[in-house]
Amino acid sequence: MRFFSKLGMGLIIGYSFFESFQLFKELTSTKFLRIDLITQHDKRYHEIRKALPQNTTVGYISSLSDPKNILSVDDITHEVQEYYLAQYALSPVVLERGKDYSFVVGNFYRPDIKIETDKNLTIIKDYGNGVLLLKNNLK
Amino acid sequence: MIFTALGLSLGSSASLYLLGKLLLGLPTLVFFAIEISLVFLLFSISFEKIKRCFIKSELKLPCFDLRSVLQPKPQRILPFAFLIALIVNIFSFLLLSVREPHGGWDAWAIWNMRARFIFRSGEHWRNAFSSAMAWSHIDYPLLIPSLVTRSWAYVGDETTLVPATLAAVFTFSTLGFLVSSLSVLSGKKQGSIAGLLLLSSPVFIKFGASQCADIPLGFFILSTIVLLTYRDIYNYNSLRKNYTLTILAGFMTGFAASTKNEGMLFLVAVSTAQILLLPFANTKKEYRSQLKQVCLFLLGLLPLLGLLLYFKGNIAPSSEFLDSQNLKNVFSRISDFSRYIVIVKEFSKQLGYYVAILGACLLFLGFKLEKQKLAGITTALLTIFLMLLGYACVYLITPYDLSWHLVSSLDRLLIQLWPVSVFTCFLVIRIRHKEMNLTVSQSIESRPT
Repeated sequence: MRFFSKLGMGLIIGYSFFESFQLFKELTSTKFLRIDLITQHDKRYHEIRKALPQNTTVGYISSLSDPKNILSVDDITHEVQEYYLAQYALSPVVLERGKDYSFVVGNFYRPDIKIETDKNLTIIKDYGNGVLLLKNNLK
Repeated sequence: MIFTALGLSLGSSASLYLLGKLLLGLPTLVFFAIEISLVFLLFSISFEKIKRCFIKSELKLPCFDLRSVLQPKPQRILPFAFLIALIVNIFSFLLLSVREPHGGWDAWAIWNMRARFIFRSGEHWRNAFSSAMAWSHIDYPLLIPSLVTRSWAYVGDETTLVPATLAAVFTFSTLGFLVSSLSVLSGKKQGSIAGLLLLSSPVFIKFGASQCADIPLGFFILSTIVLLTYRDIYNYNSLRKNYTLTILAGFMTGFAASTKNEGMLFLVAVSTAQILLLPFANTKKEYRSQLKQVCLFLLGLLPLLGLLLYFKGNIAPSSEFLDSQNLKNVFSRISDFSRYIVIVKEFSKQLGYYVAILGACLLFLGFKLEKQKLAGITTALLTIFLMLLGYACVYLITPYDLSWHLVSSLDRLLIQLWPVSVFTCFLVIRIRHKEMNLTVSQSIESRPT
């Protein structure tokens, strides 16, 4: 076997080992360990999911539904992520942004933001952690 | 061939589930009865053949014998190194899966979300395609969600173990398919090195564990090209033409198209590649034979294409990507030269890594183009080129912010093509050694009749 072939194989083995162990080290380091966000959200919406009428569409409002509360790009990203996570947790109920439905899910994950009260929305139940089931009186 | 069978069974069961349970509305128990009956039928048909294979010891797995791998001989270094890298990566995969049991963003926001809708809503499963959920790419095909839902139905529980296990099966089957096919077609050394190279890309394991559909798509792309290459080599060395592999390759292409929208691009690319190579046939007889191969390939993918077109036409809403396009906008984007520069820059940046690695392998390990592999390699290279061209065109006309779109998706698109690129590269790599491994032509010649 020629020198270059041996060298090439050695380099590939070395590179593969380096990358494989690097990934493993990265994953086992405590810095990298974190709690699974999706499971947290599944638990957060567990109770309200049972209360919602199945296979229907309900409204969705959140701490940042009002554009004037959005102050940065991070806020937008966070708002989108919260909406998607709520939809994932509550499926097969379809969540549509806004309050044009009989039932509205409230996701007030930012306690620092004060939400203006809407006289047409009545709280049916507060499930804690900022999750509320609301009724739209006009629908 | 064990990985071909695996791909075929996964793709078929997902398609059967989509057809039987979802479209025809069969009750779960009836669907299970049909599926189990089919398994028994297929097993009884092939029982005699399997028995004969075992008795005559024809069935030899091309990969590794663990006892021989563990023997400390110099020639065992490569399989031993591969085994170590494989074990480390299996642990990394497990850690990633434990850390994110619902998968990465794409997995939970698209694939597992769709599976949840189908599993939880029963007969109202079409709610998953509500226009309120357009952000979740509801036009994407249903192979992965069908597989997940079907397994949940079997288990009777919506466990995160199912999508994680499926992700593991696709990730490590891609690796297994690459190593075993190259071991047969080029030699065991090439197989081991190619495996090590695939494992050296941490994104491959990361994307695999993230349960995104790009790794399953990569698996089906690799399967198609391996089957076509195997067929071409077989046909080169044998007087009798093999058509079964062509039909199987058609099936695999159909599964690729049913996995993700990029799979449809692959369908076009691999079909075009085969059609473009038709005029290069040496004789009229060869031309007719190749034309027959192309027709059989299209025939193989036809049932799945039909199912996919039905899904696209009757269930899934039109693509958000296409909806937001109009001729004026497309033309203005095509005529914007700055977009080409942005695309070329990002492609060079991300593609450069893969090209450099494969280039270094060719340089160090040496290469030789064997005539019997020429057709397979040409088809593979042309397909990869057409796929890259297709990706670039999609970016060119994208209605989204171009830089954002490139940065957020190009790495995933390239990982779809990485296994097949490694396969194609290692078809020409010939490690300089006195005793070369048996090539497939020699294997065919020495095969007992």
